[in-house]
Amino acid sequence: MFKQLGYSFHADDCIGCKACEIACKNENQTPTNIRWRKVTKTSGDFFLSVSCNHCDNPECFRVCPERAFTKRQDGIVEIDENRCTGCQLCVSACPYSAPQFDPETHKVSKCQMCYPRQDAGLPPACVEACTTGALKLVDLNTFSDPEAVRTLPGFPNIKITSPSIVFYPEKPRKRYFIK
Amino acid sequence: MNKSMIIPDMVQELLSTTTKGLPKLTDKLCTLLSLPALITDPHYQILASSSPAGEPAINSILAVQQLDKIGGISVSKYQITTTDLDLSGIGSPITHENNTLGYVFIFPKDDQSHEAYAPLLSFSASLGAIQLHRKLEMRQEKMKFKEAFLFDLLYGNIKQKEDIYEYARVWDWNFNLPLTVLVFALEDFNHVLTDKQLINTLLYIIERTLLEVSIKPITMKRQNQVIVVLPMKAEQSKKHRAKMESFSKNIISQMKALHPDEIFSCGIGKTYESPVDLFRSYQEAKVAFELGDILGIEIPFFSDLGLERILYKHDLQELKEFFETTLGDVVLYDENNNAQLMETLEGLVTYQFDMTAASQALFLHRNTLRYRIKKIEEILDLKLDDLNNKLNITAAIKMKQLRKI
Amino acid sequence: MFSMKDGIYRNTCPRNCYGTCGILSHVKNGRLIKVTGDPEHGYSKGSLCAKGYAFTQYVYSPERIKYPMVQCPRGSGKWKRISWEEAYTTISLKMIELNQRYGSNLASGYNKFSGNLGLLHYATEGMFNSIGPHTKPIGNPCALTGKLAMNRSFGESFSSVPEDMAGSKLIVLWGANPAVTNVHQMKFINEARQKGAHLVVIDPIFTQTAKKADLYIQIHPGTDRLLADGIAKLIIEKQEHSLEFLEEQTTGWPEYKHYLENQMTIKEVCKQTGIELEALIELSELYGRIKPVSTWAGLGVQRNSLGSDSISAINSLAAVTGNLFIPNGGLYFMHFDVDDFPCALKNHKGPLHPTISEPREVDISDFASNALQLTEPPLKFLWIASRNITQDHNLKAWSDLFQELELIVTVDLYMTKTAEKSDIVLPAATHFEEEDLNVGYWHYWLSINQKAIPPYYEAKSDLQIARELTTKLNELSPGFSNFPATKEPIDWIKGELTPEIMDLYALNSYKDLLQRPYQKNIEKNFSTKRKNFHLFAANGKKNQMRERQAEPNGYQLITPQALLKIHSQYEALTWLHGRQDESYIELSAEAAQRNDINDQEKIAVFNDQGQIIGVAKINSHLPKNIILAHQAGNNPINQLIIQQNKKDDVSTYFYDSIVYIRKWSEANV
Ligand code: SF4
Ligand code: SF4
Ligand code: SF4
Repeated sequence: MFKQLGYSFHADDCIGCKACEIACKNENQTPTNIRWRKVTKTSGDFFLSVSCNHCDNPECFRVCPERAFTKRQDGIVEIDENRCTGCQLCVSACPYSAPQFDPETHKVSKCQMCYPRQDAGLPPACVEACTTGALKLVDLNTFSDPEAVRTLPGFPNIKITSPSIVFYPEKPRKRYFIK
Repeated sequence: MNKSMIIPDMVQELLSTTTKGLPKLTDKLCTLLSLPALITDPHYQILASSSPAGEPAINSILAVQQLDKIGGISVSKYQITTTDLDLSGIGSPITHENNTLGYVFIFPKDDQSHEAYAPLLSFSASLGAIQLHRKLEMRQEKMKFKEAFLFDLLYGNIKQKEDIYEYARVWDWNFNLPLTVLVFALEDFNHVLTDKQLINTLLYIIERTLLEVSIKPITMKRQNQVIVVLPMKAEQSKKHRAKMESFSKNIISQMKALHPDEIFSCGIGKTYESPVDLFRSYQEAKVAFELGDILGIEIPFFSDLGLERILYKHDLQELKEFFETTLGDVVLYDENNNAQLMETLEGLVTYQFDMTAASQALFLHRNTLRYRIKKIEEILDLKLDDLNNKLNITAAIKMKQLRKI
Repeated sequence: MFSMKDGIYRNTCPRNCYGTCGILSHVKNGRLIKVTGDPEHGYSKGSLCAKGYAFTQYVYSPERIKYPMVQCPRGSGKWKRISWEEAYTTISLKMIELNQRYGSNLASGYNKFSGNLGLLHYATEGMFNSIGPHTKPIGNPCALTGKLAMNRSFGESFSSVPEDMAGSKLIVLWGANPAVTNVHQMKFINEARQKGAHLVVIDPIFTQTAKKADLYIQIHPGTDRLLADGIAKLIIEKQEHSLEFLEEQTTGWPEYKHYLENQMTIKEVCKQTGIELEALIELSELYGRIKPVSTWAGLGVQRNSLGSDSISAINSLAAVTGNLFIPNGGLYFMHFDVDDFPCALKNHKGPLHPTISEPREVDISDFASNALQLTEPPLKFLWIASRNITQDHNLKAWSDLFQELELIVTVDLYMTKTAEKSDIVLPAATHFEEEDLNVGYWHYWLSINQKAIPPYYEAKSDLQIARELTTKLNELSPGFSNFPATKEPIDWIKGELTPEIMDLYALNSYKDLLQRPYQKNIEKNFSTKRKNFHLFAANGKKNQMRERQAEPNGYQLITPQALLKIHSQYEALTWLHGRQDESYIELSAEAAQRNDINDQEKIAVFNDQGQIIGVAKINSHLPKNIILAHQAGNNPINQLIIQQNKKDDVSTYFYDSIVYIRKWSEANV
């Protein structure tokens, strides 16, 4: 009955095309400066695509004075915008910059893991958009793969919040540059 | 008596108890055979016990020792020690699909042939299996429901106090008392069977320990954790903290005794008056757990970790700068002179600058420690008895431990 | 068919892009609320790219042109809203007047390219055809060189089926960067890699795709021909070539073999390409021993004056290893299957002119300079559709041409740089607001484009504009145009689906396309029995590449496409572009040092064509003689590109320009 839905991210397959990021905007029609998912390039020259990680220990949730957050039994961490007063404590508590403050509505919103889509049996919009298969949905309560790792260089510290995301690192490659 | 007739009769009689609970089964065994009969759980906790009139009842078991097997079936001879006496009897495990759900024992008189009872005992074990299995299923059913409630409670999904009280009544929990969440967890947990069993044992030990002090356990398993919700009785409020500390120590040492190779740690949240805030206590317990792990604190209380939490989240670059200006010279000195002044400082901070405690912990002679402190004061060009300096150094050391500067 | 109820409509992304993706448009209350990929589309398979997912913003961007507008005087920025009626009248009167002044319509012309590749977007061509001889652009600035090289090798266009790449064991990309320009192909490449295939990328630039390659080989630009020949030579030396295939199914084998064996050396290859021997051997072993191999000759290879030979040599290499016509092998470039269709609008026959039999053609690769040369009559009226000329090179010539023109009309979605220089702008419809039919040029899927939403303000499709403008022309001057203005879009679509086409795509009616896209029956094209592949021996060709490097302090300018733009089409979308300026100019560490330039410093890139300013970004993997600048932006990089040795059968050599760099300072502005 309980799940811990999360993402798996293959750094090796991601080409930084941002389809996931924009597909999220398309699905949720968020305003221009609100980005629930973000694709960034790390200093290690590979990409990360990061949204809310629906943490096992959500810090957003602990610090919110309005109790606006809940964690569903499938692991999705939701924010109830009606309860949000825009104090932004969650924004500073989250290590992954997932909660996004909209100065116009004076409210915080964040990735809700497309639960309306999931409830209808569809994958999250970002996962569907990822042509390369770099971004996938997994249930961490049953997930086990010895090749997966908990973090990659460039991803914020995972201690404390225990984010629901697993990674596959880049593979080594052979390159000949002109000397 | 025609022997071949006895068993069918007895079988008939025993069968009639199938739906009536374990005590009826032991009662029936006891009256049919005129012998004491006993059913226990897999950990030899007594579930039902019957003795013929006039004989002392068997109410607690201290130790059980399995002796020879009888014939080819699962029945064996057992030596059972109670508080008053040593009993010898025969017993059979109660199993269902290879899981041991418990044991059934009878205690024949010394002159009786143990073997003759074996078939009847193993039949009783099968009847016991039906009952115990049903009980397990019911328990699991209820557990699921209970887990769903605890999950929602611990993740703040029930926003109305009244709803929480309503649910709590189902299990007869008193949520009107202030509540605290404690988290116990196994480190380096893997999703493998053996680790899952370790968590089961942890849960069992926690529940048993709570029952020993007559607290109704409110517990939940979640992956590598066991979560405990601890109510605080009004009269205990002063000693509450100490109680939680010793309880946690107790659990961890019990687990350590059982599994010396594994590391179990804990974390304790703040105490909240209202159950709607319990989710905070849970998150706090987990934060305390993580920080305790980094800092090597055995029983970390969230409420003790204020500075640490701030430092843990603060901008790393700034922390590095602070550390550099405060202790950079000591680090440099250590590097150049192959000295261990940093270690000394860390020890001092751990023991709050108490010379005696620190020198013992560091295995240093007090004079040596004094000399080192002087050296540090020289390098840093400051006095360590100044409170402000102590504060800065304490903060810098914590930064180092927390952020691996 | 084209009702506009709430629901889901089938659209096709018509942009000049490899994907030509199937889109499902979700419409509520006449508004496009979101788009998703069409899972029935066998190439894009239910996903779009970032640009595609930004379509709701593209459609409803407040920056879209809402009404026809006139600017007086031109370039002043003083725009005035006018009605369509007024616009049509002004344009018609000018066209009629020019016709009277010069006795023909040759003074009227258009420039249109690639903004929208739908078949009904040939309406502009159809409209001009319908007035008899006029001035029109010809040529394809991007792919012509390669197209001709393919014809030389295969006798026709040839490009394997992209989905089949998933079954390859070795994939070799020459100057192709699908991770940026063709993201959907990465799915098939990743699928192959997961099954153990090797990905090789050969490119002067360490591109995003190169970073994903199992083996990346950096090469001097323009030397791909030598590398391909060198590998073929090594393979033949080791007897790993497909002799039977070469003897039975190709022509020119003896000459080719003779050339490889006697007229070139591996040492020369290493020297010219800059590739070390070890890499050459490694690649030749992969090519020689693995089957099937997919080879992709990217557009990048042909964007310099040696491109044609390079493509021919790469094709020949694929033939040597016997991979050309085997399943999951093959040769990728792009195809021109749109030519199978009647293209009735494009081929519309206009009224005959008593003395002039043909329209006057202007090479699109240098339209402005060529148009300036025209006399009797000179070009006086220019209609610009689906084209932002800041994409073009020779911007100087463009501004001279604009001086000569009496009327400039631009049809576009946004106020582009070109629109800003026009007299009249007309608001174009997006593909969600019009009907169309689309064929890919990379994959083999045919898909329909439904009208999903009502037009944005007063926007109109090209076809609608053609119908209405020609009606106005005929009203003012009866018989001026023979455009069939009463024909509805669906009639044009049905007209394109001839019995032969329906057979080719296994369709029974256009209605089938409302259910899903259809793939061309490609088996006939890709028979393993094909014959007469022509091998290319570069007899007597010298390696001009080095000689061109004679310029002492010059750098070769390369201008690849940026991820989120196809040329300048997507610049207006805030979803895709944050506030940070992406107009970096990349240079090698050595070039930076030589010119005393630091990372993030403002620099000027210049040549005798002009100068652009940008922020320097040091790219340690860039060859020392190359400067990289991304296309489009506020400072159009293409103004630095000048085509030297002009021939008729070539694409614009975007990659051939020599530039210089210096630190930027107020003093030398
Ligand atoms: S990623 Fe941030 S917002 Fe999301 S659950 Fe974790 S702490 Fe909360
Ligand atoms: S799961 Fe949905 S809401 Fe979350 S990042 Fe992906 S598309 Fe956005
Ligand atoms: S869609 Fe996939 S490949 Fe593209 S940026 Fe997102 S995760 Fe990476």
